[in-house]
Amino acid sequence: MQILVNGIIDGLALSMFALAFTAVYLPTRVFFIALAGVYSLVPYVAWQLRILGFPWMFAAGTAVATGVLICIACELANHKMLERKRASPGAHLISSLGIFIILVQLVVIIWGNESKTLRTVIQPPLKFGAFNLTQPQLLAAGLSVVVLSTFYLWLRRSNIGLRFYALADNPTQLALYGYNTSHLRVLGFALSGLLSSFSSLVVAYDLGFDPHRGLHALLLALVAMIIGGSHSFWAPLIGGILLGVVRVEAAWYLSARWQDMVTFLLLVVVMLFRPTGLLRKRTTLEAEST
Amino acid sequence: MNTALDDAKIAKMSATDPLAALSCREEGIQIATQHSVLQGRNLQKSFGNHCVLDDVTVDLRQGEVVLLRGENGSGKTTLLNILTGNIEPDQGTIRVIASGTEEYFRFPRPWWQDLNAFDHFTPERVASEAIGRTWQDVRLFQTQTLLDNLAVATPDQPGENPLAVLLSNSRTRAAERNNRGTASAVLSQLGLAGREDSSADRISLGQTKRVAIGRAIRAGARILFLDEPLAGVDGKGILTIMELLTSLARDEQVTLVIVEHALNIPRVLDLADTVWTLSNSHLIVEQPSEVRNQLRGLAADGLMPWLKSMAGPNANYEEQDLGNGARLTRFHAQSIKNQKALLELRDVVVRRGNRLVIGCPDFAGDIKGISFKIYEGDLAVFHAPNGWGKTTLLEALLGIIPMEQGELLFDNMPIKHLSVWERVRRGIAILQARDNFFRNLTVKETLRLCNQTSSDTSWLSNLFDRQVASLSGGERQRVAMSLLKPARLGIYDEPFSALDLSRETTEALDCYVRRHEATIIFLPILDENE
Amino acid sequence: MTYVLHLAIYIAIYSILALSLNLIVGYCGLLTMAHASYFAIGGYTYALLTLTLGWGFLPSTAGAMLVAAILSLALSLPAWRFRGDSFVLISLAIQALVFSILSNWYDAKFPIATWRNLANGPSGIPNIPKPDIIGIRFDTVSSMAILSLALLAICGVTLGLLKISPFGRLLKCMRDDELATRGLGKNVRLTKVYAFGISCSIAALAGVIYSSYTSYIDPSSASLDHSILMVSMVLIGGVGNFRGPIVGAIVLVLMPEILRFGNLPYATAANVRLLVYGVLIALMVHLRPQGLMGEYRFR
Repeated sequence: MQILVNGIIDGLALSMFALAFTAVYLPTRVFFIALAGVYSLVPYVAWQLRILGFPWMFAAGTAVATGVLICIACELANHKMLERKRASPGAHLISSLGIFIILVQLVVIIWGNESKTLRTVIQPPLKFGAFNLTQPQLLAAGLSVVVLSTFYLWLRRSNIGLRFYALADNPTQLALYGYNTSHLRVLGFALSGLLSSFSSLVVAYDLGFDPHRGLHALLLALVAMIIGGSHSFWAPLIGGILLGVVRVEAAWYLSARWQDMVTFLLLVVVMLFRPTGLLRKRTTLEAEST
Repeated sequence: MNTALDDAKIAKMSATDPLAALSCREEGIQIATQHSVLQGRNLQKSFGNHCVLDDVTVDLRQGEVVLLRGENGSGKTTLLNILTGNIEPDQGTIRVIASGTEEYFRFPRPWWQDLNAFDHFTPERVASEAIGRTWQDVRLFQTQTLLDNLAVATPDQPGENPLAVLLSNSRTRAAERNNRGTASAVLSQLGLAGREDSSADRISLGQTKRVAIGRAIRAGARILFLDEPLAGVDGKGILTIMELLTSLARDEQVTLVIVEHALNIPRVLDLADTVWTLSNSHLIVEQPSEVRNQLRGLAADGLMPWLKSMAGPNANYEEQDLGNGARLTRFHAQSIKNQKALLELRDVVVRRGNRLVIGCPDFAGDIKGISFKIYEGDLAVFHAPNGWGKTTLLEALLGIIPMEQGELLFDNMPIKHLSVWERVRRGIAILQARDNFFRNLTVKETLRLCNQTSSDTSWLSNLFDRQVASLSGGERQRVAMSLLKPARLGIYDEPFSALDLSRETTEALDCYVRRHEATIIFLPILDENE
Repeated sequence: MTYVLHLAIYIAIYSILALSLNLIVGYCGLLTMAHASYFAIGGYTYALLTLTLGWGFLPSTAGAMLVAAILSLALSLPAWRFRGDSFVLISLAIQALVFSILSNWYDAKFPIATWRNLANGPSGIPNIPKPDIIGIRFDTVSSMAILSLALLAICGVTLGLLKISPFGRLLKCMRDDELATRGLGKNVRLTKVYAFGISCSIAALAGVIYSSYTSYIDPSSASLDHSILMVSMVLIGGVGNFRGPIVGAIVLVLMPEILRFGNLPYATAANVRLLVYGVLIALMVHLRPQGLMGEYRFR
């Protein structure tokens, strides 16, 4: 039972990051690798502000704001211009890779390579009947549930959310109805920054952080997205929780070293049999080749 | 050698088409006794809820020339894709009889057969049975010269195995020299001698289509599927392509299946032995002579009277030729002095990638674009044949793709630099022919997205909770029409394709069209005799 | 002088890597993040074959290249079905997997290269013998430089032959329009297997030169940063021809040396180099998508 709960909580944090990636990928088809750089950078901002003596809320808030601003800058300074030039997806990916490299290397140059931690005191876990929850786990669980449910409610119920959903569906048609799709794209990047910052902070608070976590976390998020079916906003949630549980169970029964092996095996199996994830039917040859 | 059956058919033909009967008798064509090379039985294919092919059965015989025709969206390209291994049908069987061996494919494939990565009905499998195809958008290899485009097609080249290149280099070099020599000869035959090193975007569309045909033949195709080989080609190009196809069919006995659209059908009919007609997802096999009679008997376009009536009792109209078969007809009420031009195009040139779609080069080598004006009060009809570039023009008008050259003015203000939604907000609205809905939204959500209150659209209330993607084509079109805001300029792209021409439809369209200051309707050319 | 020769060896190593990566990125049009994995596989296999089985240079090198070619199926099989973004994801997964195996398959209680301790984990494998070809030992920097440049020349000639052959043409057609190529009856799957096999085994050769020169190899040679460095090298130098990758390799090796003259400590120099690469890549996509000297553009 404890293992399952641990897995679900890990999975929720993972879902947030997977959703962050999806929030850019679905509407714009941009493979936002730079998000991994944001994931690496955000805890350092919070850490530095704490070292300088600022209170928690301010440090966390500024860190999140930094993440959001960087993502918005990526769109405005980079992807928007490529989009205007009708660049191929490869070009978007490569430029995003360049930005990722810049972000991670800046972190290493400024703060160095060693792991750091955000937590200063370790408190005893709290008992909830059959299982225990540590303070970071409680934070992760609470924040994830609040953020994810707010997002999904906003997406389906609010007017702007509906427009964003439609953007992911058919951007040209949305523009033909007179909606400013540029602004909606920026909204997507901003949401991505928000969600990835939250995810990064809760995990950093629990396990510490170093400059190279970003791409590993992104990889897991991508696996989660694919397992869940990469064509819907629900995919990251389903895939994330599933992957979180599988990883924790693997760590328990095998060993922590082989967690990644199990993750990628799962990816291989899913990609072989259901390349579009668990939620959709297989595509046809012609569709695949376009 | 004509059998009794053939004689009977020829006799029947003589009554209606003496010339064809005579040539059949002279050439001694065996109509009924050729053996089959490709059979598709009970083929069925749906995209989402839209059934494109329903219980389609075809039997292709060796040496036959087949014309495959049908309306836009009727499934011609889908059937072609299925028979060439590019798409799998949902149900049905395909039998391929080539060089003695018979292969049998049944769909849907059981899951355990699916796991075998090798035994699928794929394009390369199909090509190994000497079946080839050409594409609607030609698809020559853009970074390769024309010579390489042909040379790559040769099968069984030793140089394509890297080990052979490294270990028996002289042998592969000799084979490649040979290959290039024969490819060069083929290019000369196609009339492109000396253009070996030219890239694919420097020759005319007609020439690229012939090179594509040559490429497929060079790959060893004895059965060739052609997807609209004449679309978008000028008169001279059409003649040379038909010459090529005729020589392939008559001299080399290549089996041809030609998919063509309305305007070019008569030319293909001259060559065809059989006609497959796709209509309402069903396929009928007909004789060319029957089809010729049908086409002759077709009344003039049923739309013109309606259009004239919409424009008003004293409507005048003006026609403008826009080149390559496109025509703009402007209906307007009695001419008012100092009429204001609502939309103006000046010397507009549009490219897709490297290919010039709108505009043509003149003698000096400059590109001359198209120009026209739409005035307030106009009901304009833009007629263009398939492959002319109507979609490209629409997308450039709306700002989905950029214009390379020329000016675009709306209400006398330039809008070339504006984004799609900015143009829409200025007062341009369009009803697109395809892909004009949101796949994952329900009707109610789509209405909410467009800020329509429920009272406007109470007639849609029974559809509210259904996903737009699950509606039929006609229902979807009605939903899309009702979402079109009253704009100053209304553009309707093939509004009749999914709807029928019934009175209630034309009345509905009537009412929408009247909401605009000017309207342009884009229509395909249905009949040469229009 | 030794310093110059030392740089020459590294330029040779990275040129070989760049030329091999060019086969995948420039000729197949696929972006792979797993190239360092094959580099490392080459180095590790050479180390294991020479240290534990006592094989000579040539058989060990052949063995390393063969192992890499077989393991390249991990990339070529997914390439049958996936392109673009999905392929990048799979290559990332392979990279992470190989890195994980090299870092985790160890047990300090057992000797290296046994089943319990294949790769000796983060400590790496030391004391790898220098090349010894028919009695000639290449244990000086100058002899190693000659050897590596000779190997670079051999690779160059080999890849050059392939480039102008029908095989090279087929790769380019496949890159331009895979479906049309299949429609001509070409076996694109086999072609991809060939392309990846050749590319990965040549990367392994570079790994052999590296591990025999430095006499040491560790998991950092298979790190993601290293793969990214390789990809950046070819993107900046340019793909699709020969000059591009070699220019990319030269820039890669010389940049930290130039940075060092600016009084930067070597460790930071590596990061600054990567930072500069990031900036160059992000800018080049906008301004010069064919790289400094390349032919093929990721438009």
